Amino acid sequence: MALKQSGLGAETPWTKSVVMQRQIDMLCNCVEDYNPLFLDEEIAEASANKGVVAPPTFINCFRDYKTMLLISELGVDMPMLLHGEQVIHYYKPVRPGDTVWQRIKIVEMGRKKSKTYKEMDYFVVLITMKNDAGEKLVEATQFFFVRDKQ
Amino acid sequence: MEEQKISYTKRLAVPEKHVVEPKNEGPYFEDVEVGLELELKKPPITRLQIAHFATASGDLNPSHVDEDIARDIGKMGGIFAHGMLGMGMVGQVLTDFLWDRPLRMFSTRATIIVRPGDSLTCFAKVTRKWCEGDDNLVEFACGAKNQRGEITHEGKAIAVLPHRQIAVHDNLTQPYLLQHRVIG
Repeated sequence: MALKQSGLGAETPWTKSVVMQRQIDMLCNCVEDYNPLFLDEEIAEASANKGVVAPPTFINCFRDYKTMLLISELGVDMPMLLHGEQVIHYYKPVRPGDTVWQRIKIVEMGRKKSKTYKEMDYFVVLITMKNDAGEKLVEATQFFFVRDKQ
Repeated sequence: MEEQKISYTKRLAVPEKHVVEPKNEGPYFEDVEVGLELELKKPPITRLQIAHFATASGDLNPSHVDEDIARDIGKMGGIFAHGMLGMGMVGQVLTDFLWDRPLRMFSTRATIIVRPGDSLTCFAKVTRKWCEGDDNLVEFACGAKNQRGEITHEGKAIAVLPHRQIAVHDNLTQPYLLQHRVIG
């Protein structure tokens, strides 16, 4: 296995940030998803959401120290990395102006058989996002493959 | 200084065909049937779009933004889109339908890579309805396929939908029960 096994259990520090409407705008722009519930205060306020909420994949826009974690703790050769599965669980809505805390942890690693690449290293990260009160907002599990160098 | 309010369509220069008409409310649990199918055709993915996603997500892996490294070191024949860009599009087919009804869970698995020029058709189908505690849950099998019909993403989502308040409906099949206050 090319990945450094010492990386299992490594985690980024909890990082604090304030959710900006501009971040949501950027995500909606590139997905070309202009749902006003993500973008328009007045329309969102009139809905059951009672205000703007972030789109379902917004957690992907929080990755402080993630590259450092993968490169230095796991020794991932980034061009060989492939994304597999992502599972996101939602607990509370994330809104512009919210202060959020986020951490990424390597929770599993190993080697797997692949139809296309015979065998590959894999690892799983857990991304947790909490609010200032320590309540869980969103949690995502991401499964990555690392192809062997030919 | 006071912030000037500009509509989101102007702020983001939303093309007219992409403007989403606001709904009064999302669907109710009793109106969603198992087997209901949803579909959303997205325009071809551009290199600029992938670059924008790299900026928005902070994922600047050279596989997505550097043609030379993606081709020569990654041996992928050139850059390809982030799996999460496609997941965002699959999310859209769900949230367009659900409107303000919240998701409890959403997952996708990237099955094959998506390259610039590929156009995704996102789909979702209601596969199950059930109640759990206070929540009424609807499960979708969802994903995306490219212009050749190959599945690029496959996954699952679970949404929480309310039921309308109970009432005596006009189409009551046994009106004599009402007369006898059986349902009162």
